[in-house]
Amino acid sequence: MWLHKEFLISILFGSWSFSWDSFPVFIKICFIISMLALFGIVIAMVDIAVQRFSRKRLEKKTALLSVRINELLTSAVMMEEPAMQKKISFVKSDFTIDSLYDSGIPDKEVNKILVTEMIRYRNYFSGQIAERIRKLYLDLSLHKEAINRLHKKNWETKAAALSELFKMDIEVDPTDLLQLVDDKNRYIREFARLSLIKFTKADPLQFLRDLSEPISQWEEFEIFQLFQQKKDFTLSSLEGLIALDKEPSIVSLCLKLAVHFKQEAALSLIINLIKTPNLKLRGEAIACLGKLEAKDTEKELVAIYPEQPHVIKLEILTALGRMQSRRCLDFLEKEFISSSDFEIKKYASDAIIKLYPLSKSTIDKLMLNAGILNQKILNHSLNPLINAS
Amino acid sequence: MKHILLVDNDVLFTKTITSLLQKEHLDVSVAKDGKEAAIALAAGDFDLVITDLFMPYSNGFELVNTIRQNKFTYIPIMVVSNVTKVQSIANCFRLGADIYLQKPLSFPLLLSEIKNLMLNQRNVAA
Repeated sequence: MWLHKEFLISILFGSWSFSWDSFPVFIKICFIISMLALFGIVIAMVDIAVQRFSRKRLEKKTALLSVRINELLTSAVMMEEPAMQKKISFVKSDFTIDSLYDSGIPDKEVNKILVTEMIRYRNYFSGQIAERIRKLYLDLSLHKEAINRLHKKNWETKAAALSELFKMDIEVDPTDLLQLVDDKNRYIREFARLSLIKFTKADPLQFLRDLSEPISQWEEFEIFQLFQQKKDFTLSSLEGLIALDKEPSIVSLCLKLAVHFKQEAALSLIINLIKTPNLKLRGEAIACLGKLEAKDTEKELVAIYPEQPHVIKLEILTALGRMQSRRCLDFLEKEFISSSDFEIKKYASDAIIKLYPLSKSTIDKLMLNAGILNQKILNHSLNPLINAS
Repeated sequence: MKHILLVDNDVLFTKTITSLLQKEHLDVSVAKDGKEAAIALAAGDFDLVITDLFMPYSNGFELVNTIRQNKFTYIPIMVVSNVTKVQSIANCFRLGADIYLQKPLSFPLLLSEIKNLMLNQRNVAA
């Protein structure tokens, strides 16, 4: 109690040196640490408040700037064709681009908003409007900044630059892209691959030959979509891509491309795949043979049929139905009648119906002689409202 | 002058389309969503509705449905969206849309489709 009183007096009358010295060392240390923590908290809170305030201010300015940029882009789009051809001098005077950089927002931020809005425009409009926006992007040399950003270390910066150039239809040097197609970061990898496909005319599949890593389903979807949109290119030979030792996801993509572009030259490569232990890939290869109507492979498919697992048997039956040849009709009929598996019966029936009119006599015969269940299955397959696979 | 109701919540898109259509001597009114569009439709007389599918409050599907439920008038409906799902597009037609255009949009195509729809409407009216 006495000590406590003395301590209070010492604080009140400012004799700090006396009271401080009287404390044990660990109390002194704890006090210093507490004071430092308190000071740190105050500093952090002030910093957060300042940052929030400046961010809010920037957001306000940015929102205003976005509106101005939108107006500017709309006016650029509305310009008559001859005026658009005047390039930068015209852009700087009539579009008052310079005034955007006087708004108190860092130039980098202005460019970022400008590019975001340009990309948004290109997402909405194609044709001449998209081309005008691209021209404006080039006139303002924004592509140079993006290309420079490709060499930065930060993956987000790199990926953003690749995405920007891809969306603005700016061709990047293939040597730059080839360095990035096998990047550790999947975003960089994806954009680099997509850019390479988009801009390579001679052999857009070249980079797939060097890949050892699997490609994601999303990547596969995007690559396939790009190929569908691509017009001025030749699909190179799929040799080395449709192979047993190649990464299954790449083979799967190539099989889809072979079907889409009707690559009958690739049939000899595809038939080799039916030996693969990978069931998914084997199924895809068989489906591919069916879609390409590879009649020469019928015999081989029928030969391997007995030792195949159930899913592959179904794929074979579907493929045979697609091949439009009557040579396998007896086999399909036998499977339809003798199999005890309902799914096999159904798939065989679908295949027989698909072979119509070649299978007309078989269908008539089965409709007369087959049992009640078989007739029901056939009728189900004959129903045009039911979409057979 | 033909009057078009443009329904989209994106200002950039509506502004550009409005400016481009006005250049073609077409009168354009803008609504931000299906609800605003329904109010505008009740108040005004429109020759065509161009709508997006995904908007806040009341979406494009609901709007198409609302227009087609009001049997007193026939207004051609053009859906402009970035939706690629076949089922959604089929749903638009099932509800009564006349045409579906995919974003990114080519303005000459948009204009020719607008003219086609208006011409068809005139033929139906005749």
